[in-house]
Amino acid sequence: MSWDLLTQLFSQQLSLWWIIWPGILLGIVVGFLPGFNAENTLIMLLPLTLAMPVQHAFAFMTSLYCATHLGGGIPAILVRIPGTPGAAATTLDGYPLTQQGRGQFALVLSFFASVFSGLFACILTLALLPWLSVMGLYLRSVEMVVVMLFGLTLIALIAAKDVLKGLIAGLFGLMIGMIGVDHIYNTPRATFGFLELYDGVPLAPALIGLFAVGEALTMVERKLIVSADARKTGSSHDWGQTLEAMRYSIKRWWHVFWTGGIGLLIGIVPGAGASIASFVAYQQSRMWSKHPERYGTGEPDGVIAAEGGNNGVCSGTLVPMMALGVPGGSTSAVMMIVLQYHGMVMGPQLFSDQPQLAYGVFVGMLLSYLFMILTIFPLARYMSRVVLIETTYLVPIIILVTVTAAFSERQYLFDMGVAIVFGIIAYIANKTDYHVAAILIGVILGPIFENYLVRAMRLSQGDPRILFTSTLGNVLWTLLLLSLLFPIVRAWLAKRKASP
Amino acid sequence: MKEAKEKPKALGADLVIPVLALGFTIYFFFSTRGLQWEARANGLIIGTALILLVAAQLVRIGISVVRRREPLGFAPLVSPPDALRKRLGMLAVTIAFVATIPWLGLGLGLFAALAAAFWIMGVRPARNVLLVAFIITAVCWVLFTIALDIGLPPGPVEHLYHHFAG
Repeated sequence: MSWDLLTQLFSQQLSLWWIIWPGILLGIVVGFLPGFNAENTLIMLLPLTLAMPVQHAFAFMTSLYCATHLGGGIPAILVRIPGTPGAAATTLDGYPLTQQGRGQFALVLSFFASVFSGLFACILTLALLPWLSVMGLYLRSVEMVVVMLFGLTLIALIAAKDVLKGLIAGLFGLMIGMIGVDHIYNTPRATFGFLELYDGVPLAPALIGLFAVGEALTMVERKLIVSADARKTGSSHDWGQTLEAMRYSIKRWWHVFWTGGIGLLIGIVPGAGASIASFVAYQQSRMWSKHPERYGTGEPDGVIAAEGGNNGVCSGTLVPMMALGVPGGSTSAVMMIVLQYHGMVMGPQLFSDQPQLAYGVFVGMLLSYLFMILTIFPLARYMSRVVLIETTYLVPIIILVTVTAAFSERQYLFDMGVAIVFGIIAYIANKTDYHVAAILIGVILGPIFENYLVRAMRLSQGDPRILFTSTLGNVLWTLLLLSLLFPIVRAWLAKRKASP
Repeated sequence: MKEAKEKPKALGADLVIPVLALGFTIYFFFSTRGLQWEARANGLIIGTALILLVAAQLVRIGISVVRRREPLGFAPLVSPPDALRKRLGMLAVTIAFVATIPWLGLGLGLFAALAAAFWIMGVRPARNVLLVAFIITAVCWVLFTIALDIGLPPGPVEHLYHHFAG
């Protein structure tokens, strides 16, 4: 791509600001609401996007899509309710920061990581598009089993405080994730006779139950979300924490970028998504951190990693769709419908036949992120004050509104019941120190892991050695092993150094 | 190492999640008996590991009860009593809200549920309860019914709206 084309695309996309901005605002609202996501919003808006010129439609859709990823982190940080599954890992350190009266700090960290990891992923995509487009082809089921294991090892890390309880929670989540028809023969498993569970446990209601309902039931006994000491800090609405978070994020720019890179790589793989990317990025960040013990207690790097991974996915998801004609996820599948309606033919020829459109998509995305900076950063200091609302008001609002939102994904009343059941499980887990996040990791990653594992095993007719037959797979196995061993070796070396 | 603040122990509560996990695992094995290996393999491996971990937890709790005379109660789940009353009330209101939504619709159902929930949580006076419930319901109604049209069953408010809006 030439420099001339790039500047031309930039000015062309800039002229679409009037459509990018509403996309961003709608995306943030949709991301904020649990149960809603870019996919179902874009489906609802299909009559609008189909009627628009294709450049306009794409600018609107990509800005909305990117903004949902950013918006999902806001309730995850403030009230421990991830707006989207990709923001689930953000709760691990974002919410403890809010409880310490540093909600504004956590929000700005999340915005900074979201915007700049997204920008970085966009630039990387524009620069490396020909190579990235074929990468998805090399990551097959065998390699994806290892990628999933990167995410699943987070269960073991979360379990570090009480290994037995953590592992029970994680494996319980994995078992729950196996509810529904199996991936090969479509035979129902453990559905309790409910047809509504044939597609598996619906993710949005499970998420709402595990985090929103469970946490709200737990917070009943407190007057406020924040502790009494943190109330004063939390009620401050100056720019102090915003500036502190920006300084911190700039200092940790490398962390923002490499977690965004993880998101980009995972986003390229069709079927993989933001939830996998954010957990893998968080797990890697914790593994390589000098202070892994601080993760889960309000570590700023934990927020950066989760949001970096979550937002790096956005441009990655579009790569296989544009370059190969294979949608990287359900949202890009909806976008593909719009493009095909306008007569666009996806594939490598799109970049040579219509470079204005093909590269314009990523330039538009880049601009969306720049607009997001102006839109969202000044709001952090006001948003963070939501934690000062008394729980007498907050608990009923959280429970009843989120249970209503649980209906929206599949439009089954049954799903509202699922949210209540998961809420009760989460309440018991919260009160007895079984980690809810470990249950959720199992519920989210379990079915995807099983899918890849069964596919790989079927290819080898049940021989597990297939998992070690590909070069890329073996490289990933080695990296997994190294990332698991590294903290142990480092702790051992530190102990040896400390001893006289 | 700094010790964590000691909480009153009641080990019966610690058993709830393992017992649920164990029950579900047994049900999973039962419901998948006779299926092809592809449908069972993952569940068998994870389920077996889970059963072993639950067994270890049971042994650990058993030792604590017998040797250290720790109580086998459910205090963490049911205390403090005032919060328990509010929790059960919230659950009852939420279940009633879901059960009646096919008839009441979002507008009336959410308003009634919110008002009841605020009252249970101790919001007073009644004017505040009704005012906040009304505002929240109005916002949610516009968002879910008008803006996003999520398809919740219509009730009296929705019928009235459609009657006037056409």
